[in-house]
Amino acid sequence: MTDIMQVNGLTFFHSDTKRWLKKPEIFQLGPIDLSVKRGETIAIIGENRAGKSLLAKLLVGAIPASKGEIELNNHKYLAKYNKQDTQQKRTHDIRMILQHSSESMNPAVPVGKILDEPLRLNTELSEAERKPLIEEMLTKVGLLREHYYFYRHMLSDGQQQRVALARAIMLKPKVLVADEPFAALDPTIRSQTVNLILQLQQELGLAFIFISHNLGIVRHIADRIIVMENGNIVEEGKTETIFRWPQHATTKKLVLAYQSLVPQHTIR
Amino acid sequence: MPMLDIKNLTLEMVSGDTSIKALDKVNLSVSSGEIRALVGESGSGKSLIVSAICGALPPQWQLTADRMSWNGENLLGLSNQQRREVMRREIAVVFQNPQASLDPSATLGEQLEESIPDEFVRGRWFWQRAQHRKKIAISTVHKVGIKHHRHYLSAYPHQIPSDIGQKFMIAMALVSQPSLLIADDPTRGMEPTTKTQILKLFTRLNQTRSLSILFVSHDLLAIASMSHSMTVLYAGQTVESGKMKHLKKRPLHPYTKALLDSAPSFRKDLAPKSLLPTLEGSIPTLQHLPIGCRLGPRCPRAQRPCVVTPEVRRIHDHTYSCHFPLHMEKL
Repeated sequence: MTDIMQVNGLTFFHSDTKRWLKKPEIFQLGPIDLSVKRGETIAIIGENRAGKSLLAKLLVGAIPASKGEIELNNHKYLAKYNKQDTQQKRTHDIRMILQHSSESMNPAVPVGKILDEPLRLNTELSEAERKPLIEEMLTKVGLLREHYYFYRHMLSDGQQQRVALARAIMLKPKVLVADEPFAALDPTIRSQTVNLILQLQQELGLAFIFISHNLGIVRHIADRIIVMENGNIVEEGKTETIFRWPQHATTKKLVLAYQSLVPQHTIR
Repeated sequence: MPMLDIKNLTLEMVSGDTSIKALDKVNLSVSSGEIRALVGESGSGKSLIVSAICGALPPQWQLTADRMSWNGENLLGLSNQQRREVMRREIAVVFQNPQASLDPSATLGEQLEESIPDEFVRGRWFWQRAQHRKKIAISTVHKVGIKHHRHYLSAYPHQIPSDIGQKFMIAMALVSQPSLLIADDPTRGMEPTTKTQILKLFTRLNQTRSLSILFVSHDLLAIASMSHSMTVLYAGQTVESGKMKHLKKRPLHPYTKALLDSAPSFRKDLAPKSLLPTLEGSIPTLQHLPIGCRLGPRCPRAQRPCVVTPEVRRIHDHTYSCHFPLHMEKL
């Protein structure tokens, strides 16, 4: 397996300006080094305010980082925001599913238009060429062609999640980043989404990076786990290793909390 | 003798000339000292049941029940004043969204001190009473695992993170020392460590004070670890109800099985990255409820008779409503 993405020294620095008698609030993320292999699933776990969502946004470039470089699909570029054609390349190779997929869709625009947008902005295809692509994508994520004309409010939670997924894989990315994709979903719909992502991964060879609090699902689908605390990666390893021999205190706490919920006989 | 006993609760919403049965003949009972879980997906009417028990439903919705009693007293027949008395002292509710259900214009400390019943406060003079009130507030807040009481008691609801808000709602519910706690999705969106803390707190209260808990959630893992019995709800109908042990080992209703399957942690033999067994389709909306058994269109075992609403059947204390239950050949 080859590395599809290599992150070196990614740093994000945020500090409130100091005011009279007020301590400046400083938050630093990283430096983070990370490598992602083709078709690999990586889960990011950690407590609230550990910088998980921020890391996801930095990886896709939704928030400009302060320092560091990212090598994606043999293209190296600085993680600092720059409006060059390398940036354009990045939007093709890495895509994101946002935390609240239903709220991240424009309610005034039908699904077809939502899916059209990434194509219109990033490719040179004409309208006649784009439409069959969108319809093909809709059927791929388990929706119907008719959903092209549906609005957000006409879809159920699970269907909205499917549209968000379709929008993310529209440009055939190599890496998909998702911020809590399963948190807001009901159990049966959640299993459907998990199945869909597993199938798509096999089909397209996607690398999938996701954040989750649900350690049951993390254990089921992740190859590797990253544990974060206070903006730093404190532990990293294979899923089974992390679950069986957690090393760092934070990991131990998380895994123990999870194990205490699981019925006893499943712990071998 | 169950404390809270609800039989055939039906809630009809009338809009124009159509009426929708949002709850259809729901049965639910909570015995004293029991943790009962109420499981269902969104739109199954879990929160409606909670509001029905509180009496917080809008008056234009028609609520009918064969029996809805609290310690032998008919809840539907009580006057507003008496109902409020019961809700204040004996039943406590933790609502779903703490940020929305707390008063935004008062500090958390003020709100908590307000909800301490007068007879718990000792002291003759007002300053002594105020002091004791404050002491009770601080000790309750510590009990639910909020450490920095000085900071949080003087904060407003918008200034606190949501997990603290959730814990604070629990503190407010517990301060009147109720005999039944209704917790509406108290662990939603929590990280695993906080979740286990809350669940442990519930278990401890249940054991030490024999507090009954109605735990409303769809997190099967949390439910299985603490509750004694479970009622499963689908689209406003109770599909199965019984002891947790029995339900987990041998679910009779296909929907219960689908729910249990959806948590990969329950299964040891499941290979990593294998597809999870799941039900097709999505949850029906209130406007388009199927007739008969509401699981019908999604059910893998559905047959022709399923267009008639199945009767409630009973095996010992395990009730279910399905025409073609699972595992019947073994029984």
